[in-house]
Amino acid sequence: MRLPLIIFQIWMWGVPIWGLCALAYLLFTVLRDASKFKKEQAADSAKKE
Amino acid sequence: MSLDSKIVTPVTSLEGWLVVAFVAIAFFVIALFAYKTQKKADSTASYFAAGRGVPWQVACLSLVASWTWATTTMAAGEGAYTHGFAASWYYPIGGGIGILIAIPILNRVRKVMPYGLTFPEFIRRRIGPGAGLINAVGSVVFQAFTIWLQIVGAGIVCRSLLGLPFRSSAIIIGVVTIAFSVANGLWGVLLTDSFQISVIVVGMSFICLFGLQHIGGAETFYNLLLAKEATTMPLVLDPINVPAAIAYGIPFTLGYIGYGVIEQNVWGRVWSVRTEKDFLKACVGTSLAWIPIPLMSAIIGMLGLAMNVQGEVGTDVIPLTIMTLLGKGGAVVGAIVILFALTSTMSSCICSIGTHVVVDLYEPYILKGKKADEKMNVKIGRWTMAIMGIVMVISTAREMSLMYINMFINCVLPPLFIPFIYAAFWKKVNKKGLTLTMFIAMVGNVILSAMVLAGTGVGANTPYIYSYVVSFILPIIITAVKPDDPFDYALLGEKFHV
Repeated sequence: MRLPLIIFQIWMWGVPIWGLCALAYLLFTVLRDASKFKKEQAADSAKKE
Repeated sequence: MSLDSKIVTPVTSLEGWLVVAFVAIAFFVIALFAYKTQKKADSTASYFAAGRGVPWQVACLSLVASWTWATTTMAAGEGAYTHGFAASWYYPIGGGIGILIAIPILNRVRKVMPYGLTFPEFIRRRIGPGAGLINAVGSVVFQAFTIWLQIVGAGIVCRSLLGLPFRSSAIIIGVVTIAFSVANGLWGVLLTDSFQISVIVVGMSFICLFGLQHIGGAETFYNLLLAKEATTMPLVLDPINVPAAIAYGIPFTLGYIGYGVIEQNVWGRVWSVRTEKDFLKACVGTSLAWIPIPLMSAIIGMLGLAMNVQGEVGTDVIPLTIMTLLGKGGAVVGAIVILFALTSTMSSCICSIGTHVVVDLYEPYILKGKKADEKMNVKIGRWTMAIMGIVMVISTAREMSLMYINMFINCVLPPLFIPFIYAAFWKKVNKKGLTLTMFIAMVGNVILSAMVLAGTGVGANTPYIYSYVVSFILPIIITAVKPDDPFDYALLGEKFHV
């Protein structure tokens, strides 16, 4: 298989996967940080009580 | 994009209205969620900067969404369809680099003025009221025309993909988006953006991956383009294509470089995140997450090229290709993706206009330094957003040339980009000279853009080159002749809009 074709294939399949991975990373980390933040808040309010 | 494109959609009118209803219901559900999760939006900072406590990922997703509009989803694909593979990366790289170039400038201003809300506010406090006013008016005009462009785009998408009447569908989409933005402020806009961009990315990835499979895989796709190379388009597979760069790549890059800095939608997010580290993560994340969107649009455009999709005009390519690949389902997915792209930009722009009117016009020119009533600020912002929105919807419901609107947008912001950099970094820059430069560069750019539109032979790149050269050289000459006393940037650190 010629090099330009290999690059073309990587580009065509890779770009949509790149988009999906970037989105998945952002959504995963925001949910992770939100649950961490909630736990910290709950611990803080428990300490105050 | 033509307003008279005659794409025959397989979607019935009832199904089309159901898609519009889905978009409206999505707004309503997010509005409820925003209302439940937001602390009371009764101060300027809580309404216009979401309380300055936004997670970086939400700011990043929102920036990606507000940078994804009609040209990102449709014109990038049209470029690849017209010029081949090289054009597929000219547009995305220009935009991605735009935000990376902006990072040190945005960071500098955020550091010296941590309690800001708008970029004209920075210019007003650093340079003076005249320069602040030029920036505020320029930005309001830019945001208003951008809203206009999105509403016209929404009407065209509803008509071409969903078979709905242009006028009523544009009005309904416009009214729903504006009502939502007015009710929720920046926090609601950020949440909608995050949801909408997720749908856009998943939808476009699905169209690309399914399209590649439908055409017989990447190798068949490559062979179809090779056949084009041998017959009608000799440069179709070249990664660098000089004619395409001149006609398409350079104008987009020149236009986008300044967008990272002279764009209130960016500044709204810059001042809404918690820390400097979060801000840097949001900027880099925006570049990395935004670039694949126009790249995917370009892949769809090239699929259309390989399949010999023939639209009446260039911008028909993306809707036609999606419909050819996926039939009725494709028309629905495509319409949702493009409508989400348009409405997310529209809601950000509406919010930016409200912020400008309160921070850059009402506080400095009506209150004149008196302490603002925070609740009154929010009320004025809401009313302004509603009135401006209604004006935009009514005027857009009349059919207008998208090229004309786009050209008008482009002539407002580039003249302000280099003066902004001088204001942020150059202590001794002559303030009056900088104000004069902004004025001369902007007026000249408007005149030259009008000449381009009138077909007088002035090249499409000339207005950009003029405004960049004038705004770069003039302040240097004036300051060399008469420099100002060094400005103390610590003065900008005052705690306003906390």
